[in-house]
Amino acid sequence: MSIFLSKLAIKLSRLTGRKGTNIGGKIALKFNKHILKKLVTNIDNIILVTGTNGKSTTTNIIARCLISANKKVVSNIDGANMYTGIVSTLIDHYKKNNHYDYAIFEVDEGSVSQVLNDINKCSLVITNFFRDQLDRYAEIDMIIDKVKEGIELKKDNILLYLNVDDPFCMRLRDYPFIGYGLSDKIDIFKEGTISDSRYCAICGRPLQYSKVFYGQLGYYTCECGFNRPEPKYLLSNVSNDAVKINNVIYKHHIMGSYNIYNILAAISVLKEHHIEDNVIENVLVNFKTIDGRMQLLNINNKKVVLNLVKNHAGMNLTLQEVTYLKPDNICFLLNDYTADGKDVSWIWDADFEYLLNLKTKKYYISGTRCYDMALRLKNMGIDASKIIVNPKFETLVDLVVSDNAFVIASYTALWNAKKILEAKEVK
Amino acid sequence: MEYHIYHMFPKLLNLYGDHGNIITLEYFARQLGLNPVLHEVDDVNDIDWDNVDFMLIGGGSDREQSLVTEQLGLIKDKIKDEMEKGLPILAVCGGYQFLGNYYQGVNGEKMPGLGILDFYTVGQTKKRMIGNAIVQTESFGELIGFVNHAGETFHDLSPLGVATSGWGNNLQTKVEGIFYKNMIGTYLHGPLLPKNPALTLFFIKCFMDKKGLKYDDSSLDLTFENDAREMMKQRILDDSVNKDDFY
Repeated sequence: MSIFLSKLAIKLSRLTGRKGTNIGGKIALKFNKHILKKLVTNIDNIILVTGTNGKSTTTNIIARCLISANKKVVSNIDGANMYTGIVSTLIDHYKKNNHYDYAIFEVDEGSVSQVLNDINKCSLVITNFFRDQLDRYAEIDMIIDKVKEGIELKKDNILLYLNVDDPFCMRLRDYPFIGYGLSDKIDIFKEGTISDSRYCAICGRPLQYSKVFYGQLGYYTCECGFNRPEPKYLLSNVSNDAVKINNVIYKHHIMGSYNIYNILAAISVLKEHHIEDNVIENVLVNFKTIDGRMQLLNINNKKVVLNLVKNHAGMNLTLQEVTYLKPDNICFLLNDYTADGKDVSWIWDADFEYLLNLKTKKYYISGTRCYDMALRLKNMGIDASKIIVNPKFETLVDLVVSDNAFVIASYTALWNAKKILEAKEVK
Repeated sequence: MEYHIYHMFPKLLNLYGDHGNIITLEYFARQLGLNPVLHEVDDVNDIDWDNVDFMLIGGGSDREQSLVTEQLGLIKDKIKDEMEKGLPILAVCGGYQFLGNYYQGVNGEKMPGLGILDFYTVGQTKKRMIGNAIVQTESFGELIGFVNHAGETFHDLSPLGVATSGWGNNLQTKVEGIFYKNMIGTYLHGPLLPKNPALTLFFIKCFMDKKGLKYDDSSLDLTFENDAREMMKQRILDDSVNKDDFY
């Protein structure tokens, strides 16, 4: 009964033009607080993906490869990643006696323990931990502790996939895990100026680094013995359109150099599940993002890239891409709703200074915190006459796409921007 | 003229974009004809006390904060001296708490502060004070910022202002911050200075007055600042800042 009503609610929500990604879950939970337990009984393998950045892309790659390998898959690739969103996805796909080989879900860090509590056995992929929405989670230590609590509940029935380059991830090394990481020969990242803390979680001493990729990711050691372990999956080489992992070369067409970590995490999982290399490569080569993650649009013969950014670490990586692509116009859409984080101070921690070396024609800025963003650019030395601000993106979009452009959107600004830009692409 | 800005332990005390205060101070210093020189202090022995024109002490996570307490303890008498002589200091959140006598943790243990001013802070787990805030001040008009702290600060000193929206020093009162000589201690992040040019200009004017330089801010263009303040203030007052109306 509760599942039926919830399905109806999702349909009604869509009819009124909403995404309907949470409403079903909210209703179902009113009837049964642990309805997830019931919904996952006919799923053979559950894979969860969490971490600060890269959840969606990693989830997406894994899901598409599994589908290509003829597995029956359910996934929340439309991005509702809290507990209610996952419940909604399952209800939306629910049919009596329906069976799935795989469920693959990206899960918000804050929802991991709640989700783990209601499922029996799973794999949990962790991408990285960066400062993200500190107003919601207070401090990064608390986020990791919360994820750890959830893992502890399932410690005999869980397999972790951990980014060994991230000392925060490796706080979870006492649980069964498969490691993935980069070779220290990889040299494609710029080091940001404001780093996350590089302190040993065990003894509190500063970690020693022989190699830094970005943020706190790298080759680290500590006097107390807390070291980066050798990963089972090592990405040893990278070119514009290929990566080499455990001596296998995979071609791909995924924009954004930071995506090599997401490709690596996904391939680690896929290889453990015996998915064949040609299936994986075929998905990677034909990968076209349509979810606002380095999404490429062609609007009246101008190239427009749309990318989601949620925190300073993601912003730094995205700004690096901007410096490679050198767009004519750069557009920032910054909101401060709950899902964005109400505190937008992180824009001052990101290295917008990279932009000072570009010959950008105009900066366009929208969103509920557009003027904060304008101040960020002006105060670092961008000429105020190049900065065009209006809270409504609709009023600026034609100017933005009159040239090649890069559009950077916060979480809640993304959906609207995607809708508006995709409509322009069709015309 | 060189304007020496000291940012204390920026590698450790760098929560919530407080570095934005420095970017903003440098910007306005240049606009007013000064040559800002930034000193990022990792070791207190590197401070040239004869040439400190401004000092920022930000906040960090608990672990980082305790690492810094030791170092700052070495120079607490010097900071107090300079503060009494009128050194402009901005101490935010953890940096503000530092200046007091102690921070009492949730289990009752007392972590000594620098004791530069006579006040204290008590940790609690009932409610974290988070959100946008408007603080009405006598000297700087309305300040707009974002607070995020669990510690409750208590003092009988002259406050920075009164929170007309959002949280102040503690759960009981709306009194916010400390304003003593040219030292401002506050829980306001945001970061604070970009949206509150009155405060930025106060710090710079302190310096220019001391050096006998003519201060004239009439040519400054504060359009973005005013727009940012107006929009935020409106959203705080009609509470749309707390509504997720994008659905």
